[in-house]
Amino acid sequence: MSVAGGQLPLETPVRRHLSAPLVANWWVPLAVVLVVALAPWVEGGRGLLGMGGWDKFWAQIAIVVGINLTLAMSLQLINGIAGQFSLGHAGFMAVGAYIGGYAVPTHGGKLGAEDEMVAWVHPGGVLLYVVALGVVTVATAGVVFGLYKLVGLLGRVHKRGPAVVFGVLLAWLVVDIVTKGKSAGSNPLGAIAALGWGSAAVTGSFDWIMLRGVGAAEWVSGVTPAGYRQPACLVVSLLGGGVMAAMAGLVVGLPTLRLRGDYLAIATLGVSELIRTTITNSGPLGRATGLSVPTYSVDAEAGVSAVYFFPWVYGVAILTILVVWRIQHSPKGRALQCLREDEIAAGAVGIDVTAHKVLAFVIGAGLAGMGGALFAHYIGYINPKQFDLTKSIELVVMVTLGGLGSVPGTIVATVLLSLFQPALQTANQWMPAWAPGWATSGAELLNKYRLVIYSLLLIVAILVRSRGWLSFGRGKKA
Amino acid sequence: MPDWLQNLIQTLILGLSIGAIYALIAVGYTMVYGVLRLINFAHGDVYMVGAMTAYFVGTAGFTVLSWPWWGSPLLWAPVFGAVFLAVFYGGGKGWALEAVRAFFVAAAALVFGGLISLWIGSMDKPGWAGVGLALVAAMVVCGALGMLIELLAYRPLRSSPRINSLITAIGVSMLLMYGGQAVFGATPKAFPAPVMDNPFLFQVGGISLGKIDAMIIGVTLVLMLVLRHIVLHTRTGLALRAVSHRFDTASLMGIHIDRIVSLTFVLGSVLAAAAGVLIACKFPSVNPLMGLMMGLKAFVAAVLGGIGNIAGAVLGAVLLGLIEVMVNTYVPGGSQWKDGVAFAILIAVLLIKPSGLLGGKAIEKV
Repeated sequence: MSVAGGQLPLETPVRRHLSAPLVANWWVPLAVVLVVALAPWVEGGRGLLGMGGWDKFWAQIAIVVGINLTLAMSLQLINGIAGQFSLGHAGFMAVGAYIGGYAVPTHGGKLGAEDEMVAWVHPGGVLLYVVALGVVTVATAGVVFGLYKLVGLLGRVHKRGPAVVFGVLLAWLVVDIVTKGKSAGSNPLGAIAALGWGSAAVTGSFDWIMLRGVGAAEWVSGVTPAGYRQPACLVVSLLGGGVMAAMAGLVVGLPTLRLRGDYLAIATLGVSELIRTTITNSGPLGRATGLSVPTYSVDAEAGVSAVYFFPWVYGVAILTILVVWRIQHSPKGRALQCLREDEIAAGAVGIDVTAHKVLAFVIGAGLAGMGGALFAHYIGYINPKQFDLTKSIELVVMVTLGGLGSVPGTIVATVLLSLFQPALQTANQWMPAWAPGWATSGAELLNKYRLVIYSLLLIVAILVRSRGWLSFGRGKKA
Repeated sequence: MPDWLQNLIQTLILGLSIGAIYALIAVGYTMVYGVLRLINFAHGDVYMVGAMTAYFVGTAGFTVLSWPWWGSPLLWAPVFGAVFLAVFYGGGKGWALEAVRAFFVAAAALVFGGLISLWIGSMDKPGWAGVGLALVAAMVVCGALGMLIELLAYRPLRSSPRINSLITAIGVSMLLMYGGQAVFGATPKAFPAPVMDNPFLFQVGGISLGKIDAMIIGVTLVLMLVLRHIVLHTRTGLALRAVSHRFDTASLMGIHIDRIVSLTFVLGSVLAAAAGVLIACKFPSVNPLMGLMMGLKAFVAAVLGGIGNIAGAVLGAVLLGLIEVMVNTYVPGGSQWKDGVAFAILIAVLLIKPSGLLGGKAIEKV
């Protein structure tokens, strides 16, 4: 691994003044995060509203910042450290959000429920759901992969074989559908029927597991002390969302990571849009209207619920930062950075390129899934529109402006960019009473054109400092 | 004619007109990718700007249309003369040849100008002339916009990694989208589509061809032929092909790279503008976010046909339009899956044959 060495000695002396670090060490990101995280606790954080030691406005912003930290950092692992440009991170976030957001209200309640928070009392049920889903997914993936291998063993398959099969299938489908009116798959033979049997087998085994596991699930919930049931539900939801998103990452990553550069970006974009379309068409997940998710609140009193969610959000964020940071400086991380710089050279020095790429993709997707589950339990209502291309782009911007490959830079960029919109949005409220009229109207203009300003700043930022503003000068070489 | 066949043909016509719109946008993607190896994310939003320009011209233009000169060849002949001169300009091959060329250009300009003026003069309702005016205005605005985008956003980054250009492109796309929202308002607005007594060009045996569909297909066909002529039969087109083949070598051959890249953006944007106007006639609703999904799907079409290949982009676009309309019509609940199908095609193409249907094999040099 001596070739990789983390940073290649290829620093060009020209324009060095531009790539010099703005953030020279970890203290700046730490300070920025601390300020944001502690601001809500400061007496009268904003406008002296007299809400005691807790400012609801700042608390919401701080929680959004924390969730964005998790998401952006997980994307940094894929885009920055491994150099696999993904434009579909919101898709994995959606998987996590919908797994957590569906499991908790549907399977987390009714265990001797006594109060209004029925959704959070049955951690065993949530666990059972997640486990059943995981087992069925793994089994299905195994069967499909096995069939694929079997076809490979049966003889030398022509390279274009899959393409031909795909085309024939499509043509047959079209003919079948057109000749028989609107009843797709009315033919009992053929691939549609096979797909139908397959889906029947999948749902059947899922139901089987759910039925057999009821006892065990109730035992788990019973063993859990009453006070710990809600946190246990949340933990299971987060882990379940993370694991399922990681599986999605594996399924997506194995085929698409063959592609490079902008092709990969477009493929991941396509996958995330497919995930979104699937959710939009899924009845249990609420289709386009969305899904109500129980928020994590011990006390229903207004403006207080965020208090209890705070440690969870920042716990996950810190965990993600630690994981990504330690991966970056581990042998695996060196290998990732090596293949980011030059894939062919990395292969030549004995790095398993595919395995490393997929590893980074799976870990990144899993962490994004946890971020998504957090998002769902914070926002209380999820719909497919929240996980569209705009969200992916927002995260990519955070990672890029923070500097590809720079963990502290990403932290600072994420915090600043997450604060940007609410700051401009409330610019006119920040104006003191004695402010002149032009300042107030200027603040209103800032609010009106905040998205335009944001995109202009993004363009200028990339044009001026293409390696990221807050990088250590260690990012991908320009 | 059996019912299902009639249904099928009607669907195919719709698919063809949607495919034509995709083709106009996809060509811009594919040309820019061919020259710069850049996915021009802002292209879909240029299309949106085209539709928006058409909206403004369409609403404001009806008063302008009462100007009697619109029906006069004296106005249109110089316009077409300038266009033809720009298209066929050969650049110094001797005065005799130039004189002959100038004669033909003038003749063609007169003929076309006369035809247009006859057409406008024969209108009893201003609708179609408004569409023509909107088309010209949108093309001019978007051509300038495309040139400006390239000049300000992409040219400075040409030597930096491609991912940076991609992010700038996303930034430009966001700028156009949000700028459009600020200027235009976030709510969709109704486009003043041409008013017709009879919306059909003809109806034979239960099959009908709408005038708008016919216009979309016709305008697309004409624009594609013009593009084909520019790319294949002019010196500029030769230079464009050379730049797309080998960027550095082309510059060594004395080709003015910057000018060609500008031209590529102008051509692509002009076609996207036309697409914007045509779609605004077909589905008369204009909103600032209309470019996002349309742009992505046109890009899928370009990838399907083989990115960098103009004929491929057209083929892919028509295929995508047909598939989409088929899914919409024949698959139960298909309208919800329409976008998903496009992306499924994208993934399938990228996995099975990343170079697309007509794309050549890309050789990666170490």
